[in-house]
Amino acid sequence: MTRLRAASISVAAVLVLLGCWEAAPRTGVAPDQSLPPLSKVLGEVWNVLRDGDFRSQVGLSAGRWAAGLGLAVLIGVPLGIAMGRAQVLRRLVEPLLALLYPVPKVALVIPLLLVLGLRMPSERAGETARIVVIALGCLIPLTVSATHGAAEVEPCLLWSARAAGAGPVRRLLTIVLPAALPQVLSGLRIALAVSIFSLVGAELLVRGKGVGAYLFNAYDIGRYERVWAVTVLVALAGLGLDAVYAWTVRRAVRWWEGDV
Amino acid sequence: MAAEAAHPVDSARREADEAKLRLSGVAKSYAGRRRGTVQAIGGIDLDVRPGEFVSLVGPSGCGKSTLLYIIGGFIGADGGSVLCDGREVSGPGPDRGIVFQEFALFPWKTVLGNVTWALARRGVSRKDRPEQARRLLSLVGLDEAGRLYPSELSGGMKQRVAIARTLAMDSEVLLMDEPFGALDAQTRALLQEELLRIWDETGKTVLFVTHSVEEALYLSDRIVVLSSRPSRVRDVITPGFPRPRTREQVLADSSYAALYERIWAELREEGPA
Amino acid sequence: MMRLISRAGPLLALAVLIGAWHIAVSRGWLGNPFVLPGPGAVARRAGDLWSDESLPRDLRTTLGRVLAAFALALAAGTIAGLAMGRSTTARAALRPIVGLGFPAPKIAMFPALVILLGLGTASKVALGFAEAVFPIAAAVAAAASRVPERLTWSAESMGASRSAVAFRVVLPSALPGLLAGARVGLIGAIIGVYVGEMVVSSDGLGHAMVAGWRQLDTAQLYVSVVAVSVLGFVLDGLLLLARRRLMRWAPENASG
Repeated sequence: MTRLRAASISVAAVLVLLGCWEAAPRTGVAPDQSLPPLSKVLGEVWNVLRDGDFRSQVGLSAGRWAAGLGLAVLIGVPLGIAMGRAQVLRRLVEPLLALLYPVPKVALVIPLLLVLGLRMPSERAGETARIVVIALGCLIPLTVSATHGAAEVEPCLLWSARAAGAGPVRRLLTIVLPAALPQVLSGLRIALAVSIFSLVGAELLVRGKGVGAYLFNAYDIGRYERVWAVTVLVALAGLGLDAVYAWTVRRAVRWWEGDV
Repeated sequence: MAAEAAHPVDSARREADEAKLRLSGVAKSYAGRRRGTVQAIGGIDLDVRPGEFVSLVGPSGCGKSTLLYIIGGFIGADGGSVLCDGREVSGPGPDRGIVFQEFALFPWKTVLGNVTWALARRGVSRKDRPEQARRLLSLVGLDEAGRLYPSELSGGMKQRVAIARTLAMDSEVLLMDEPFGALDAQTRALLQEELLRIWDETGKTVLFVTHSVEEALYLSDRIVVLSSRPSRVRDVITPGFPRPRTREQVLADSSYAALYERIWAELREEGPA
Repeated sequence: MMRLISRAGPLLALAVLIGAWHIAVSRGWLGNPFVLPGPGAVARRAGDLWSDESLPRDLRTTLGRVLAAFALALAAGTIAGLAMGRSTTARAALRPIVGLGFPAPKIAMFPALVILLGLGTASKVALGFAEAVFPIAAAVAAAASRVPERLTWSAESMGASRSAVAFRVVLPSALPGLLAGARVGLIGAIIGVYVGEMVVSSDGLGHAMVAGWRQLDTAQLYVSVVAVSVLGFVLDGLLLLARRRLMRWAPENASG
């Protein structure tokens, strides 16, 4: 199949899907007030984007997101690399991660809020709880993938580096880190998706400010077009981040064979 | 093309009766890595008689495996035609069994399960399958391994299973794509002998791709030497060692060294593709 | 011996975790026991909730929703993944949709799903499904496209039909990838259902948690979190068990 034909099938599939969204409420297959037609939602997207309140909420959310994800990267990647190279540490920490794996981490925002609320003003407690929950969610994929990346470094690479007289620090910086990078990055990609999920989830569960709260306020007052519009915007943000990731990685890690 | 002019329909049909496989003007090109097309196979004519053992040798990358896949019907040719028993090949079929270098066993099935699967596709009744599968495994020297999974076998045993599975299809033509290329030298020698014995017992028509001149000389009735890309038939050699033959007899034959040197000289001249 | 330790690892970690929790609470490091009751208090509350039937009821509700979401996602994801892995047309049509759906935060859709499907079970199952289906479809598609060509060729040359090749060669060959995707999808289904129940619901474990919070019954809140984690752990364990049975043929059926 030619590239052109594949691309036109792709475009057609998306158009059909969007067409269904437009047509379903107009033909009465779906109730108009609960699923507004695409064109109305897109109009509302424009209104939401012009809304100063929304923009300040986005700023708040973005700050939380960056803090949570950043925290997870700073802790998870070094921890994972260390676990990959030190069996003892791996044996200690891995069972703990296995235990935490099925726990819905977003839900912990509520107990965290309670515990932190005793020590600090509620505003700050809520903020901290949300950031911690985002970090918690991202921690496991980042740590696990960094562990695998560091553990699966070809022994011959390390042997030849040692034979060339490279000390442990140099081996870590010039062999282990680059070799683990592809795995770390694929962990980061999962973490990106988890981080947005956790952000919106935490904001839905513990209201206050932020995009999740804005979304839910629109639901509460029955402005369903706005609900759909914010949904579209958040989905686009997730997609945008993923696209930025793929674009950056493809340029930054040219030696990497295979898909990013 | 000249080949078409030389074979009017009538005579083609008559001669196809004699040829088990008939290739006329088979050509294949690929989309190039950057642009344009690369011609891999540049028009090959070849007849293989029933019960004949024919080897294809050629410089690496000359497209001998591709040619075999075209005969198998797995990939289509751009030009020419392949006839099997006088019928045009248009896709894979049980009339042409194939053995790959990579064994291609179903890893989730036991040895017996792999062979039984082929018997089931052929329509052998459920109650006859175990008996026939055991007989086939015994033919390739694997009486004891039926319950093992492929991951528990050595390379040589895997290839024996693959041969048994292909024999289970009961096809008259056997296409073999460097079947012993991934095996160590001893296993390889052993399996070559086994193959000759099986070929002798079953009377299959074999088309055998190899990059080993020794292997081709030991096994074949005829050796077809292909040129580098776009490959054509450069030479056809009929070693004529008596059958049944042993390796020692072949190596000691007075014409062996000369034939070996002749094929090697041709391959060297073609160079890598 | 090493194997025994790694088997017992999670149990050991659990014991350490509970011990640390107990000590931290009894020493008062985490504030007062109302905000974070000790493991003993949570266990007692779980016993109460179990005997007054509310915990079993919530468990059944959530389990049913999780299983429904997961089963639907497994079926849809497998079929879509097989199609994407084996047919260039299906791949071209579905790839942008999976590509759009995978990284998009489905949770943002939840209010919209509630509008569309109502406050009951359907909206939770839909969110669980949305969280689960994409990892499964992507994993199956990747695995199906990596099935060695020689394997499908062999089957075709033996006279296998198109559907026999798809379901008896490609599917088993893609099974390791499918099961890896299913594990991710299962956790997605649990989180989707649970969070959905927390946000808008009148029943299920997620509702019990939020109710505990609102009614200042913090022990109930923790009972719910522990219960859903145990649920996840058990279902994940069952999936691993199924994998061990289904993949006895693999050289190392415990890896991955």
